Amino acid sequence: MAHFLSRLFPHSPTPAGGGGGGRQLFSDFWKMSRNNDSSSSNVAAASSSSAGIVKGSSVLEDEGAGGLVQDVADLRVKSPEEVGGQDIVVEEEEEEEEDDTLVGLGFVQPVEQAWKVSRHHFPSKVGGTPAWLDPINLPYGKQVLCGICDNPLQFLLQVYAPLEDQPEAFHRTLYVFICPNMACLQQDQHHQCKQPAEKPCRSIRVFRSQLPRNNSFYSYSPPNPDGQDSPSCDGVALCTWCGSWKGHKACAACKQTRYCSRNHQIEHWRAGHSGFCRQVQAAKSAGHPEPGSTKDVESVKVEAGELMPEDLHEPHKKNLPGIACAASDKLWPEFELVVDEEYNYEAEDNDRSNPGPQIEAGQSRAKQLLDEYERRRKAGEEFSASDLQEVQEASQEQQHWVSFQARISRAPEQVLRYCRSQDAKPLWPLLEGQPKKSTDIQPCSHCGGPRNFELQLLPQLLYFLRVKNEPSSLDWATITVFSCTASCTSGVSNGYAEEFAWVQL
Amino acid sequence: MADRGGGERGGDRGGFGRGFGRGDRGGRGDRGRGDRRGGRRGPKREEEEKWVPVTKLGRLVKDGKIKSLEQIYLFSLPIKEHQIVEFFLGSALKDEVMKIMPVQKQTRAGQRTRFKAFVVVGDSNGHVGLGVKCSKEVATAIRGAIIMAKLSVIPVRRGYWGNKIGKPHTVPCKVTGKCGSVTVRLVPAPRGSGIVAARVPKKVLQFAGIEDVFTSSRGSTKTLGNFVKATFECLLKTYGFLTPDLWRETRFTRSPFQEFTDFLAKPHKISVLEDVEKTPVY
Repeated sequence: MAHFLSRLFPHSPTPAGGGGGGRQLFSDFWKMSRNNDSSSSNVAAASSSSAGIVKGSSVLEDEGAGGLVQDVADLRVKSPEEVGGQDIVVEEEEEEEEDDTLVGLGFVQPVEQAWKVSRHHFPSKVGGTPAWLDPINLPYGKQVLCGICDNPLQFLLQVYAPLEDQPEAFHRTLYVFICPNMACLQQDQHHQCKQPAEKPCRSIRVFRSQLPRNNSFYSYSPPNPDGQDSPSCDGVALCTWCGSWKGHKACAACKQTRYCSRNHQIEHWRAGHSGFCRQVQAAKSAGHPEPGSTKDVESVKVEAGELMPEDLHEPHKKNLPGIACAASDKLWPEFELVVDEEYNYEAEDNDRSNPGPQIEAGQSRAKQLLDEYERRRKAGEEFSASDLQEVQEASQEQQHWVSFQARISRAPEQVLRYCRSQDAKPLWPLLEGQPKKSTDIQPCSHCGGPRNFELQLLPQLLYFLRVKNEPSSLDWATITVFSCTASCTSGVSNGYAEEFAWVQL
Repeated sequence: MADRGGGERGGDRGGFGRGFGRGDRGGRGDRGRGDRRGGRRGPKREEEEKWVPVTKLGRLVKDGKIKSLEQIYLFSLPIKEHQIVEFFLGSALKDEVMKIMPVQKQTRAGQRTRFKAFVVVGDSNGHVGLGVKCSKEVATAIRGAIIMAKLSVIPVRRGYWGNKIGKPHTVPCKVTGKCGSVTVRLVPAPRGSGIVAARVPKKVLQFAGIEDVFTSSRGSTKTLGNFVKATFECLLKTYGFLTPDLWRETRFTRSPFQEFTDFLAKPHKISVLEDVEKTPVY
């Protein structure tokens, strides 16, 4: 520490002797702190001989400021025998590790050209209607509904995440559906830690679909990057209200509109289908219109976007091939999800010339403050260590949260973090509510293999989706998705396998 | 669209987008560092300054639904994002490093030294916060301590010693705070007395905007360091003390989270602002 002081007081004559050998390592106050670990051994070595040097320097610096002698004694490096004195503070381990696994970050971008989110372009998107990879074997039955309120789930986002080393997963997409009711999400917290035998009712579901390159739905060659293509075959009819789920029920009155469930039929009726239905019926000279019953229809292979007469009074909706239209106005705004890598500004020492603007501003402010502090130190107006040593740092939870914020401040607009490597760990915002690796993360229900972390959603997504801030609106700290490590296809009855999601509120 | 160009890299994928999956880490190496900057980050650089809120309170603040920091204090909502404090107090918030203390941990390879930075922030007008952060580098510690200080900003109520002329300059009444075994008592002082206190709480009180105060402390001298925590407790209590001008019955108002449900449903006068603004009036 003698070197530390001699840097701060450049006017004082330099003490000769053993201190000079170590000083070249501490030529700069900033660099000294960075070289801490590498030179800790030097510091320790110097400590044994430091007693004489420190005393020498304190004598020399006496002419500068009187109050410094005490401070010097406070700061000198204590030899190992003196450990246990008040200067040695044993603290909790701070999580400052920089994990090397590179994380892909997802950012939302407005959809520039509508065809880019059609399903034959294999998009990653947020909001709107899902672009189903396998357009025929959609999830059905109980999978479609929220386990708690029995309403159909709403599409949140999909991520196109192919695996390059598995030929049967040449195309692979993960879909996240969530019930927009916050009360269901809070109930879901109790269910997510249940074992499958206890039949947990979830309000969030993740589906995975994968196809080999040679498949019956899309061509072998990549699509034209100009949006002129259409998918090779048509998909199954979708619900006209949500545009997400299979429309296997139809309005008994007009027989043209399809729904996935009674709830959506009722909402569509209220939103204007009653008027339209009457028109259709008048045209067909049929009887009295009523919301009536829904009938199950065998899935007719009709492209959902083309023939639906509702588009007449919603002319602004897209009508392109491969994109589903929805009459609902409650769907979340549509964005495209672009991927970028997380860039670690602070780890790049040799690239310090160009860190991010927030970090730069912070660093310059820190330098300013440090200069002022050094000035005051010289003038002797400093607080001694004993005044402040009782002031503890904030609680563990708050520190954890602040370190989470520091990590996402590298890219404040990120909404998704993707990392599929074996040792990938999600970035948890909160300390409590984390799953225990062994018990809480369910193994794959299809192949029995273990599940591994793949991606997580961050709360910035709620800001971009313009979710309202009422007590009943959605709010989460993070949603982590664990997927089958082997990305299995065996045992999957329809084209979509269910994966496990863990929500931290 | 930057990411479509990335498709060419994935060998056999041809023109298919490479999506989020990645097979090998080697594929990343061929993009030079400069290229990585220019790819997507370059044009977006200025947008990285923008704050994207992470908590519900942050979203409310960003939308402008909350008019002042006092509204948040009124309902004791935890402030988890320091940008909220910056949003309201902005440039008025001054910060200062109180001390940088090297702390050492004994390891097998010698000592591991880290730096503990103490930063106090305040706008000298009723808000003050104290932050502590320990880190391997001084700059990181200072930055972290500034953030912790902003998160811990508390409102401070000021009053008069005698005649109610001019601006409030001292604590409104005798308040006492306790932390550990140390009790700190703040006593109103006449104008011109200055802050009569030990060095650390004196700094905190200066940043809070209190001009004159007498202090008295009691407790074990060994834990003199609890002084600053006790001072904080004291300052927190200034708003908890019922004085005659607060005898008027409080109309309970809705917290910001619940308030705006009604606000959106039908036009409503936001009644909470009336109470908050009236409180420190003399």
